Amino acid sequence: MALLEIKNVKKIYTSRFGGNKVQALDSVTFSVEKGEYVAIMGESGSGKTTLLNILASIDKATSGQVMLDGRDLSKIKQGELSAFRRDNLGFVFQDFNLLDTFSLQDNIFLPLVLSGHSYDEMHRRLEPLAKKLGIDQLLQKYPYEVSGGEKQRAAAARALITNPKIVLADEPTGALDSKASARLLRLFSEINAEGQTILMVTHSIQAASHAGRVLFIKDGCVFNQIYRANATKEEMFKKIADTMTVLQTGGTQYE
Amino acid sequence: MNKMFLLPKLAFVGIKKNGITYFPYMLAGIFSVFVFFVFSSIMNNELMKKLPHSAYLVVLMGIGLFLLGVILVPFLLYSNSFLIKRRKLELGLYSILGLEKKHIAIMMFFETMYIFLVIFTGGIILGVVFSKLLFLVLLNLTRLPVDTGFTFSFVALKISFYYFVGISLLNLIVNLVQVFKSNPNDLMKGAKSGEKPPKRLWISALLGIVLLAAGYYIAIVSKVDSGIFTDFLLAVALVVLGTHFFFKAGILALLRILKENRNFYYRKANYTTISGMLYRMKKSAASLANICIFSTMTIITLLCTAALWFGTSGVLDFQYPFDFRIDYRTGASIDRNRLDSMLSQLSGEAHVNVYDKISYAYMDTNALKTDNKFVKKSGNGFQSNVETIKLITLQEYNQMERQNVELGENEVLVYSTGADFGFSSVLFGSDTYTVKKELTQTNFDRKSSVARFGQDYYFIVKDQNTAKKIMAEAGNPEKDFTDSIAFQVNGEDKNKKEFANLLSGWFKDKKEVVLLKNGIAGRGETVSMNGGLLFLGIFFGIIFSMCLLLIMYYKQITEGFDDRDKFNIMQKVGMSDAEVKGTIKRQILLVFFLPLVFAVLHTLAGFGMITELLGVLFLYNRTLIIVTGVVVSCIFAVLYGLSYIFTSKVYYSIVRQMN
Repeated sequence: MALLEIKNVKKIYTSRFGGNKVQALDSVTFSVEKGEYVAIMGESGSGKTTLLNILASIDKATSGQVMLDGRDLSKIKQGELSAFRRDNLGFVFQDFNLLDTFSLQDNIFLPLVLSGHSYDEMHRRLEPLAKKLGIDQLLQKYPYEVSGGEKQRAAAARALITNPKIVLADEPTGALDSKASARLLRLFSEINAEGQTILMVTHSIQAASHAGRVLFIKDGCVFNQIYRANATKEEMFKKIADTMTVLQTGGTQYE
Repeated sequence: MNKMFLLPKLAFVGIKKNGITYFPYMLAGIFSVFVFFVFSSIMNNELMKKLPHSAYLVVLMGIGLFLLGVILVPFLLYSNSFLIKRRKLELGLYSILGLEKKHIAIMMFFETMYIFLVIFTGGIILGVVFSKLLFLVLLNLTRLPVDTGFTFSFVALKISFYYFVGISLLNLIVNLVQVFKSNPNDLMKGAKSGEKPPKRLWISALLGIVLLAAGYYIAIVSKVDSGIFTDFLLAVALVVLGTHFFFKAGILALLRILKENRNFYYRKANYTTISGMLYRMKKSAASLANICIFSTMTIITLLCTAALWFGTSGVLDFQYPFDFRIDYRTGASIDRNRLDSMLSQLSGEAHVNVYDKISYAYMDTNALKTDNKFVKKSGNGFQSNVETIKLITLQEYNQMERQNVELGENEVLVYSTGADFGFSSVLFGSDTYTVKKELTQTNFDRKSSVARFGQDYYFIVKDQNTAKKIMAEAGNPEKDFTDSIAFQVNGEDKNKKEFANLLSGWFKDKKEVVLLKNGIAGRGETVSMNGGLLFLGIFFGIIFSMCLLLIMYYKQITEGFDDRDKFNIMQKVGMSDAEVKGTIKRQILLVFFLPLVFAVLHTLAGFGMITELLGVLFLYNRTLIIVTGVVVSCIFAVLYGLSYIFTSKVYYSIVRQMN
């Protein structure tokens, strides 16, 4: 069985006084296998952030089903949701979302402290992780003292330290320069190679070309998907770019 | 669009859009103008000078007005600096959109003018409506005759106008300097940069504790003497500085220690609270210290003035046990009999009754006191252990007190109007006398064991020869007896007054009179002074609380904007809504009640000094002072709690805007 299964998910936003209805997602269905690295691409307004929010259990689908490791997200009680999220999901955000009140180390510890781990256990987990992410020298610094790339790596460490079932990344390279982006994406590939499932929302072709599979969303539907198979990164880049062109010119040429 | 209209309009929109910070400022401004105008109206009213016993009151109101003027300047400047800080982003945007600094300056001029117009007209209108009422309240508190002839004072209007124009200009200058100093980029950046932890934390923390301890020490040990006012000011300065240092560094240091303890720190409940407080203390130590100081000022001001007001009857009794007292030397024109017949004649003329009359003769001198030994004073310089002794013969004592005490050759009775004498023998020069008994109460003078001011030692001696012998040893051998007569009067107020006039008329050209003490007039003055002090105390209490409330409010707003992002992130990372709210609540609660706790501590430390100072005003009733202190502190704590709830609501509404 797949790790993450999305079946016929629909999301309709209703404006405050019930007047206008906007369909953000229209029957999305796909699944993610354990150990996969999936990128979701689409233009602004295509519904990809809505999709991510639903997967992250921050938002609820109007209809349809989201199953993580056999558990239906919509069946989880409101009170348990935060704990569920912090134990099963790891988040990486475009704008890092690190707290200025904590040093990098304490930021990374946050989810573990919330679930009641001991300091020794947290420290044991942090050491190899920090080394791998290249932030072991920066742990005592505060977010406002380090660069964007370093912040994002710390945020990645925060996402990974709970050993989540899946890492959800929302435009993780969006606020980074090309060098820092490349380094982060390389890290993501390495982590994935070690077996971590990653689902990344992006509109950077560069970022998506690292993934094993790319889903394209347009107007709330899965429009197309590309598998890497044995393609190199460059070939993958070309494929994605072509598909994006199709997507943007109306998508009637090839199909 | 026409520039002439654009800039004034922008100024107006700017105020309106920033209502959440500007409206409280304007309310505080209106109240400041109101109080200032009321005080200067009372000061400048012709009536005040005409009312009897109002001399102290005029002086008090003058001091009050002056202090008000001094306090309002830093307060309004502080609030203004907060306003301009919050608007930097907007001003930066304007300058990027093409407004020159000149234009921004003009806009800010209009802004200042609008605010001035609002607070000045608002304050004056309130002042005109309420000043007469408040004047009547003042007359009531001071027991002065009620007079409704209070009129609008143009002088007061003028003074208030100049004062607040001055403050507004000062604010405008500060704002303009801020704007001209910075470039648009700085303005846009605002306050969003990280802070370095303060350097030399431990030294500052230690300094804070040392300063506080020194201030407390001075406040606790100092006694009433010529140095008390210097001591008082020194203690206040030390405590104010100490509070600032302690809040800035001491609490941070404490939190650091907690943070170092890993097993304690890395726990769900402590983790976010400690780090949040660490972060917050850095930013808000100054406002917390100010809140603490204003709280202390409010409590102490109200405590002193209320205790004095409620203790007035005790003060009057101590200060003026008799309606009239006359000290004189028997001579050609006055002796006891002649005085008696004069009193019955004058009281008949004025239609009053004289009763509880006592007459006695005493000898007095100043002598140096060491333990139970009195010796002659040498030289004229100031000596700290000089005490007054008064000698009365046994015969007169027995007569006055309706007693039948007997004394041996070398025996005396002692009666101290202050702390007990407390020795079983007394030495005058080289002669030793046995103290047969220490008296605790007499008809002729009042005692308060805590009095430290103008303490007299009465010694009841066997006869006139013994008195003369003692005078030769410890005082001036040339000195003769002084006669004293004291009595109460009853009758209608205007008749009493008439009687007082007749009495002073009769004594006018008599050289033998040493002292004519009119207790009725004196009490009137004391009551009017204490009432006036309470009036001032209440107003100053309100003003201090207003400062406090505004600082608290601005602090909550700033933190609300800061925490909005934090709140969001924490939820994304997996903290539940309830957990986040609990954390924030715990933090604010701790941080906010810290100043209150310290204010109460400061008040406790200052309690000794308060009683000493109130003792100068003849208030010796410790129980009353303690009870008043407790009541005032409790009322203040409740009001503090209410303002906390109110400002927290604002805070939560800001935090929730995003969610």
